[in-house]
Amino acid sequence: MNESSKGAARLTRAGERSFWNNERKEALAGWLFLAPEFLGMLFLYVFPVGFSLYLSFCDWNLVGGLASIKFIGLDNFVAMFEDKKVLLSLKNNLIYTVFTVPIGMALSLLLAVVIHTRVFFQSYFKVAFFIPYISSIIAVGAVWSALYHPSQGPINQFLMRLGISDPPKWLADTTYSLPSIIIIAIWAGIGYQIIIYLAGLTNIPDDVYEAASIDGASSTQQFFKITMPLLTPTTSFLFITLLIGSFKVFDLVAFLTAGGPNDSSTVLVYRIFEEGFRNYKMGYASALSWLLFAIVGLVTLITWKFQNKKEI
Amino acid sequence: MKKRSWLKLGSLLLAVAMFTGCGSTASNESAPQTDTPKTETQTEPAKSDEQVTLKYYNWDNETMGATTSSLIQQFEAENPNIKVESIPLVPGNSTETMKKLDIMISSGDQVDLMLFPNLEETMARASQGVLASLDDFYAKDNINPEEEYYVNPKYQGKSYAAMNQRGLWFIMLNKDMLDAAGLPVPTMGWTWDDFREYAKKLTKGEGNDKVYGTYFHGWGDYANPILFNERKNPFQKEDLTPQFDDPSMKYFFELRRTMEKDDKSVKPYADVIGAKLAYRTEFFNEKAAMLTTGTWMVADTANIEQYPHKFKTAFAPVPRSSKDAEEGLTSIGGQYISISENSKYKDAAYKFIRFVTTNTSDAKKELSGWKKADDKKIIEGTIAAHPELFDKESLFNALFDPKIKSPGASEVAVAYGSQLKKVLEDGFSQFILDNTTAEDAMKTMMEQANKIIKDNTK
Repeated sequence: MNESSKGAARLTRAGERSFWNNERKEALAGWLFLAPEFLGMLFLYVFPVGFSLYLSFCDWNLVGGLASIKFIGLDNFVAMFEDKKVLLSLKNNLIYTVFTVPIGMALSLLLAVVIHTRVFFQSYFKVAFFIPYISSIIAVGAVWSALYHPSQGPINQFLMRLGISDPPKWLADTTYSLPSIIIIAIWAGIGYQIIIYLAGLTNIPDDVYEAASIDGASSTQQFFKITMPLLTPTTSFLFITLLIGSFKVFDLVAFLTAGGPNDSSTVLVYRIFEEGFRNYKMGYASALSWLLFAIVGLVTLITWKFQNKKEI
Repeated sequence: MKKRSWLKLGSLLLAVAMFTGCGSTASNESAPQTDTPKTETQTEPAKSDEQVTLKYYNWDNETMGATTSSLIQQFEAENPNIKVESIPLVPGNSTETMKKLDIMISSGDQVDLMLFPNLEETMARASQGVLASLDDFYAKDNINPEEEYYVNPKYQGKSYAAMNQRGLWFIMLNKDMLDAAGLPVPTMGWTWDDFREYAKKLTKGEGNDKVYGTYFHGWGDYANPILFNERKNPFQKEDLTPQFDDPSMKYFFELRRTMEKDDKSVKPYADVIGAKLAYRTEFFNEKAAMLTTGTWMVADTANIEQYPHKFKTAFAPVPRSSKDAEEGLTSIGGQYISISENSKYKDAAYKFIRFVTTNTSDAKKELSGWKKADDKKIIEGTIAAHPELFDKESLFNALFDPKIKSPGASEVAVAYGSQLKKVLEDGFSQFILDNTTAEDAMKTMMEQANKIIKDNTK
């Protein structure tokens, strides 16, 4: 930068020293080149985000057009903590996260290690586990809802053969709708996590394991003393992305249960959708999405802090 | 140097283009704002030589689309200077269409005419001020809407929509199964208890081949049809308090549980919502012998390309709640057409509305919302393709019995009807899936409904 500006200064003819010296001119050109991108950002990201922040303090019925926006202060934020449905969706979100993230990670680590070390046809298994991840979640959901069919689905037919007379009704059950969705989410997400873990595993040099087995370390010891610690960066990357992703779950819920039956499987993003586009309360929906933002932001900050400490 | 100034010029031009681009979007965004206060009908008078194109939004599937395009052809032949463009937003799905339509209206797209699937959706838009009142047009034409249409959706005393199509509820019965069981076609005055007996007798088979006596869909309408057919407004009393403590609630909830758990004459509710069943397939594929449904199914019965079936269908009026209840009550619903408040061609749009609603050509397949239409002729035309599939006598009785009437016009016109319907659906889920008592479910529903009403009236 310095070199080039010197070069530019040398080229300047005397007598042309005005406000628009070459350095400034170049800076202006630079800014103008950046302008399209920044303006795009401004209108596609900054403006909607700012608008939704403003809306979260307003009462706005979507159908009424822009003219019907009414400022109501903090009412939306007060109302949401008294709204039973919102509290229920927060609880469901928490359950969803607590189950999908650790179970999904543990399962995928286990499968990745098994595929990596003791299985023939590695690439076949990689593909087999990866297919649910690349399939459309709607197709996956449709297949699972057939499996979950309360009276004729294979799962319940099997359970009834085993002698369970009143098996869970899965997606149509107020107690089991959320667990049903969690099971699908873990199953569908595991392929991606396995691939990431496999990449991590191939980065661990074989001689470390060789040395360990010469010293007489059992394979369990090797797993906990070598594999796990060396996979820490992979694990924490997966942890953060899965955590954030789990708070934003929407597609499965919307397609399979629409938050029901009786709101038993509703989650925060589904509530935002329902308040905004079913009940047309755009202001309230915006306030809820800022609640989601606050939660995801907080969780990310905490994990970040935690992670940095560990790495130092 | 030269090179650089070219670059500068280029980037400057780009920037200018960007700004102007943004400028024009900004002015587009503010357009609906400036337009909205213009409540008076300041439409440009449609000069005879001026060509206008109206945009008409609906959710036409293939069958409905054929009717619409035939009507538009007739209309354009009569009015050569008006073109009508029919735009089905989500074919066959009125709920999704309404969502898309709202976004189009609030973003200022050209919307002249819109079709609504029921009174609630119409009222929701009317109360938001996005519809144009039809009163001035009626006055100009010397028309008394009360004499013209069965229902005139009114908000604060002004009419906002014309009834295009009328619908009423009835029961469809598989006549072949009815005959096999030796049962007569039910007639006016039968009760839901009789209905239960019919369902019990019509149930046969086991496992995958089981034929259930009837099928109840997942909609709130099936959680308690009595509310819909025998009350002025299904969810609210005239003073706007919720109606989920109605005595019929406990009766019908428990009837549904008895039919599902004891008689096993109806497909379990868990299967209905768990497998997302479609009611047309259940009936036309002979999985259920009876179906509570409405007039729109008459055209579907004749449409064997889409719903192949060979059995004859008989029809019966909706059962009444008890032997003491009035005979022939049914909710008379319908589809409504409105003009957008932002339309620039309101006169032309009104012309189209009148043309479509009062048209009696063969294109029309459903009961008309227009009082002067010859509905019998319309229905004759609808079933003409496959008369062998209809038990015509019972169909005409179920549609045109002089005793058939609506429980009266309700003054309740609220924008949150769909939220109250969800309360009913949730309450029923709680009752039948969690095995709570009807009283508990009703209590929860009353609480939720009161909260929604309170939130919307402050």
